Amino acid sequence: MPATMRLSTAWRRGLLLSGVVAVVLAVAALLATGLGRDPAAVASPLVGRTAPAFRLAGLDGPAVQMSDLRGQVVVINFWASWCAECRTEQNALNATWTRFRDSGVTVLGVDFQDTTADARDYMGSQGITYPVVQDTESTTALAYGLRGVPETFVVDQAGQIVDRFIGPADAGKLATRINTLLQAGSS
Amino acid sequence: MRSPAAKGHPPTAGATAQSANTQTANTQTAPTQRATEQSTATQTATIRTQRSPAPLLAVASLRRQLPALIVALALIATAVTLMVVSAFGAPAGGRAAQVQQIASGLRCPVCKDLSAADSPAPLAGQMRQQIAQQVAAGRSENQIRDGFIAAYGESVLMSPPHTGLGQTAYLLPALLMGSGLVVVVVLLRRWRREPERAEADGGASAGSTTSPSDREIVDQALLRLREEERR
Repeated sequence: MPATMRLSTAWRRGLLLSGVVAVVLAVAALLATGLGRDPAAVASPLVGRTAPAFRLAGLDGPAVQMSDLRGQVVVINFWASWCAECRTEQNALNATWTRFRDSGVTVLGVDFQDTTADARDYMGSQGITYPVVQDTESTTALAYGLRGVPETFVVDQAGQIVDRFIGPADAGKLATRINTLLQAGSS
Repeated sequence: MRSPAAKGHPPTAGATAQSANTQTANTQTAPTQRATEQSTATQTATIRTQRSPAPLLAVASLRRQLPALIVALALIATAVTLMVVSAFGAPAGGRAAQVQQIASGLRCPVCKDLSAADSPAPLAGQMRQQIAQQVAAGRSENQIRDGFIAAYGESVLMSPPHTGLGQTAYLLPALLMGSGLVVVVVLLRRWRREPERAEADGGASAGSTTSPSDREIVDQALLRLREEERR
């Protein structure tokens, strides 16, 4: 009887230890997976799918239709004049536009929940030269699953969303992705 | 045998009990008669108990099972209430009510734990407007909801979906409730058995608090003492 009890206690301890080890390993695996990801690149059901169609009025130019941009790499950036983080990413977007505008890349700004006057002032002060459209009823924002500004989507030549970045866009990451798409498109 | 009462003496309790069947004499005083009646009633009750113990046992068993019955009734009442609320909870209404209902099932994307119906955020307002347009266009509730899921994923739903991993949110509580019920039943049965077991153990060792080994030592000591006395 005591031998059985001793065995039972040892078995219980072993089981408890295995459970603790399993939980620790699971947490470590979860952390390793999570820490290896780019926090700005957020999983979205839209990534890998055709970019939702839209036709929006230009702020200081012609209306833009998504289908007209097919065959180009499109960087769609949702922004607003009242958004502080949008100012921090502005240089990266301007640099991307300057660098790739003649390589079959379009940077498109989508003004979100803003007034036309404020948006114009912002564009002037930030030196924006790429096309900007206004999403007055937020229909495009909802179609793209927007959770706030700034958010940036990269669309390939076939019209599929390949990346979604939440928060200020990074020039380096954008350039890497664009170069990959351009190389894939030319081969 | 004649009772002491019949002889004119005040009856003792034991004597009264012995003479229960013969105590009808008019010479008895009032307290004596009352005592006799009580004794007779006790005896009759004892006889009744001996003849048919079933009703008393049933009452005792019912008392023991009462906590289990109360718990079972409470669980059944909870389950029935939940079923009724989930079946008839959604109020019927017009187009505005339908928009409200769909919006209340969708999370406001720029808020923390607020539905599109409750949020004052402009984007939530646009969601309600879009829902209203789609309802007017004749799209079904599922079609509208699927449209938002396509853009935001299932996290846009206020409650988890009934498919895939979301099912665990519905199955787990039922599973936990079932497990809890089993634990409650097992514990109640164990608690019910414990007093019986204690009673049985108490009866077996009544009047003796010594262990068998102690008793053996005492017996041997007594034997030695008796042998010494004989000498």
